[in-house]
Amino acid sequence: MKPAPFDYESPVTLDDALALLDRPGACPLAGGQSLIPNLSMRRTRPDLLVDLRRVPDLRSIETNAGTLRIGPMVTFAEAAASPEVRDACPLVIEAIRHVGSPAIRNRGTLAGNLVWADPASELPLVAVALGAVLTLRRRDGEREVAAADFLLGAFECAIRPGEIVTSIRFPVAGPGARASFAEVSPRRNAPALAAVAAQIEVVDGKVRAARIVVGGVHPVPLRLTAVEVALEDAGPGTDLPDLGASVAKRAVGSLPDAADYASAVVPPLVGRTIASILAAS
Amino acid sequence: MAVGLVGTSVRRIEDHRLLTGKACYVADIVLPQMLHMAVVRSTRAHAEIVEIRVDKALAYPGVRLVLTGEDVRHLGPLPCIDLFPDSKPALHRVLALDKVRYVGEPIAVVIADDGYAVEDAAELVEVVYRDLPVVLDLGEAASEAPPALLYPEFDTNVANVCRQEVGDPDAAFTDAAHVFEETFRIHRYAAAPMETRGVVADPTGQGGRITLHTSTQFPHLVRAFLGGVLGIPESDIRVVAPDVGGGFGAKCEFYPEEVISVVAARRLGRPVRWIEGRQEHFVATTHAREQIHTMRAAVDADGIVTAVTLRSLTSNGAAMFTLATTPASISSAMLRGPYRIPNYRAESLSVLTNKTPLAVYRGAGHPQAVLCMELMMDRIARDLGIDRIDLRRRNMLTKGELPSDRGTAIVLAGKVVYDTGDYPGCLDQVLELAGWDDRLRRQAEARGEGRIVGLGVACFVEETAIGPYETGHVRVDGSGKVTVLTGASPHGQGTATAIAQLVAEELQIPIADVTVRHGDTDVVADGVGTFASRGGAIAGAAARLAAHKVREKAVLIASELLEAAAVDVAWVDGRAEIVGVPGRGVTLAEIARRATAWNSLPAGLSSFNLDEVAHHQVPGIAFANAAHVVEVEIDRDTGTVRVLDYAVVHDSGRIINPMIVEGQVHGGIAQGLGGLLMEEIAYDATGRPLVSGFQDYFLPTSAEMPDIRTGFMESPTPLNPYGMKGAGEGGTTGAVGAITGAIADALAPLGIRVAGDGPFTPPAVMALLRARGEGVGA
Repeated sequence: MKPAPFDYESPVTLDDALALLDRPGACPLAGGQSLIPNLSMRRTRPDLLVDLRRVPDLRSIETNAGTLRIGPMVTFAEAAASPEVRDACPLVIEAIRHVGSPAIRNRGTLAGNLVWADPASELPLVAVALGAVLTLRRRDGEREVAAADFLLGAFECAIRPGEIVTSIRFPVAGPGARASFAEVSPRRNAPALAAVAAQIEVVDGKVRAARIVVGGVHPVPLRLTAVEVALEDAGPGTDLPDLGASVAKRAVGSLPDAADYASAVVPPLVGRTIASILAAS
Repeated sequence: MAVGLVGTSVRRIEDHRLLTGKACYVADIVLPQMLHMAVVRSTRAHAEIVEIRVDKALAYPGVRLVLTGEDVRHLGPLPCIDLFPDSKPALHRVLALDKVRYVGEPIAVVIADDGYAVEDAAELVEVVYRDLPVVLDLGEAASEAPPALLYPEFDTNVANVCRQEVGDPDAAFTDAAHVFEETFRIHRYAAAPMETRGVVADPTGQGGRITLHTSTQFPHLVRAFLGGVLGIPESDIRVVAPDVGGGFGAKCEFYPEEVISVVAARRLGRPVRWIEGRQEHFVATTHAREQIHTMRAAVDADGIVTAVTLRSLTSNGAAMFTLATTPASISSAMLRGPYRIPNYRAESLSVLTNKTPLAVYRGAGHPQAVLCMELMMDRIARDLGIDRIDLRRRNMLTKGELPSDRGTAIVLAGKVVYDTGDYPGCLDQVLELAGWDDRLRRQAEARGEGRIVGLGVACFVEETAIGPYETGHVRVDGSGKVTVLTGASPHGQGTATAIAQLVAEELQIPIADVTVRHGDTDVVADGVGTFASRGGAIAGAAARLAAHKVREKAVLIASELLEAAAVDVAWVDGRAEIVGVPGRGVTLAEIARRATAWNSLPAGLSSFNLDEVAHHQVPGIAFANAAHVVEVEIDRDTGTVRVLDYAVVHDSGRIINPMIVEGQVHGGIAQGLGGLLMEEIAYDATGRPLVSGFQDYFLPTSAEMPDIRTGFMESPTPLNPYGMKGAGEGGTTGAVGAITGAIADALAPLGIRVAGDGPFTPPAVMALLRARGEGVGA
């Protein structure tokens, strides 16, 4: 369980880091919670590992003009403890409860988790649900990509060689926003077999800005727009969890290449997340 | 002070060191000039080896040596110690010769200067294979026309047949009012101890004497096996089991790395280290459990089970490892558990398949046997409309029927004669502890609400504290402190604490004055090891016997020192006093000093030193028993099984330390739960295992564990002077049957029949529900 040979650099400026990452075979190291085990199993064989730990200003969390900005080296534990995140994006907090163990949350980063694009992990669902935008920086410029466009497949994302994520921006949730995250896994904190991320604003008993995204059905997060619309259009007195579950069942059931188990369990999980949000509202 | 120390929950003397990072595992051992070994393993399940190209690996910087099967062709295979006279000795080679039979089989080793270079170079060893048909399915493997023969010389893949015959089962089936038949399948999983295996082989002892540090449960047996394979006297070998981070049976086996590291170290004249990786562990360390049992039961009109027959297949993998027939032997000998069932026949086959060798794991064959018997009991009860508890009571041996010769035998351990226990009393007590009647009412209510709730009950008897013997050596030196050398080789159980309690009580001294040493064949001259729930009971009995002899000798010496007759000397608080004159006495230290070599031999003694050795010869197997009751709920929407409640009453004879026994029971239950609900080593159609580490092999955590209420009964065994039986495995043995029974009970009203077929993961349970139109997604 020892990695294949690689070079290692630990730059102290972002420019130096980007210059190093421009080299062929370079790979950035953030929290290392997925990369290091894969190096050890020799599934990943970079020529050069560029450790971002000493690069300044990558750990900030700030809210500005309706946007929450999370730096690329912010760990799950830091995000979970942040009042800014709690106020702006309760769904992020709900999802982090299901991420790994405390040791993993202490080191693993949100950005690293998105780049790894593991179909069983939680943050990609949240990023798609909330319409997060990632800033990708390379040596000679930067670009912005919406989370839904960033995640391309199992362990596949839109990042190109030489690029790193320099920020994840989430729109600040409206007043009355409540979130719920539910998943099924073989064991607590094991990779999810199926998951649902839900955020809803409930104002005067009326649902607004519903966001329902499910995992496990496809290799990338699947947004259930039909459920969102149904919830927002529902008249007073509607059994919203029941409505959500039945619309989700129709939506997932019509997909040709859906994973069998997740398709079966996602609809009731959708119902449960909605029920949990309503109970807290 | 030490009066009544046995039976109290003394804090474990091991823990401070272990919990403060002071432990020393094999991987912590660093020796001068130490080299590193990597093992090149088969990537094919069944193939001829056409060629092994080692040039590139040899040329890699830092590489010292590459060894292949040809280099050790002259060495014999690894021993299997539980072969039957007519077994097929399909023994594992140190390195594969001409052929590989499972993914992970060692083909070559590379030795290099550092742990990184050696893995780089190991990748450069090229093996050219010619694939052979793969044998994975147990039924096919054992059939008349298997896809291939793993060892064509034997003309069969059935390596062993273990038979048991009691009474006249044929007549009982002829007379039966009802006959039940069921096939139970238990999947393959593994012990997965926190510390993987590892060795440091040091050839630099005086005259080339070898020290092998290895993560094992039985260092003395490793010394014997190693001497046998290498053809060198045991006195040229020292085996050290340093701190060992769990074994559960998987380290109660003798492995190829324990030989080849020594061969390489002797060749190079430098220490050689190998630490198993976790991914490697799942192919290189023995697996467990996988069995198919076809069981028939004859039942009379009153629900009395008059006979049972069993035909079982065990998927032994590609070779017979150290304890290869034991799982099949135990499940066949112990299937009837606490039930009378006067007529019985078993035919248990150990079958070779292209998988990692299978051997013992916590409970060995017991968990499978309990699963089969208890599920069969539930099925009989359900089909005949008899209450399942009542049915068990009708068939259960009573206290008055013990001892009971069951007419079966366990390989290596001997005849099955139940010694003591109160099986119906144990069942009564656990039902009380579980609040059974109340639980039944609530289950009915829950079912009325559409919830899927099940109750499981498992009663069992299990072999513990087996022989043949264990050693204890108690020495008091001039400091007045006591050192115990034990032949047990504990690896997390708390055996040192238990032994210290027994010795401190015998000598009436503070437990802090007792040091227990183990796991080093140069320190402990003779021993057997820790497995089969034998450490506390058997090693404990040996140590206590030695302490008793020390005390008797101390009284004799004291009588000289006190100028009193031995009968007038009393042993009080760790010192000898003249009866009736409390002020006049001598301490243990004074007595020990009187017996040293620079004094004259004390009157009436034939040897110096306050130092005694005891061999506790085990006259027979002590049988522990327990009853488990568990409640589970299945989430209809997701298939998730949650264990809601657990009650267990455990009887392992006289208890040395209730806290330790309770911990053993709880830990055992956790392993039973994990194995049933989440652990599996599945193979693809080409024989590649689908497990690569803890990212896809899930062990249970505290989050999955229910609260466990534990009750104890103590039925002392007459087989050792202190009445102790073993407690290491019962938790697992009971949990597997009880939890499966609860799942079966939960699903029975839905028309879903469960007969093993774990693990019960959410998708697996969902598939059962959907097949019956129960899941929401159906």
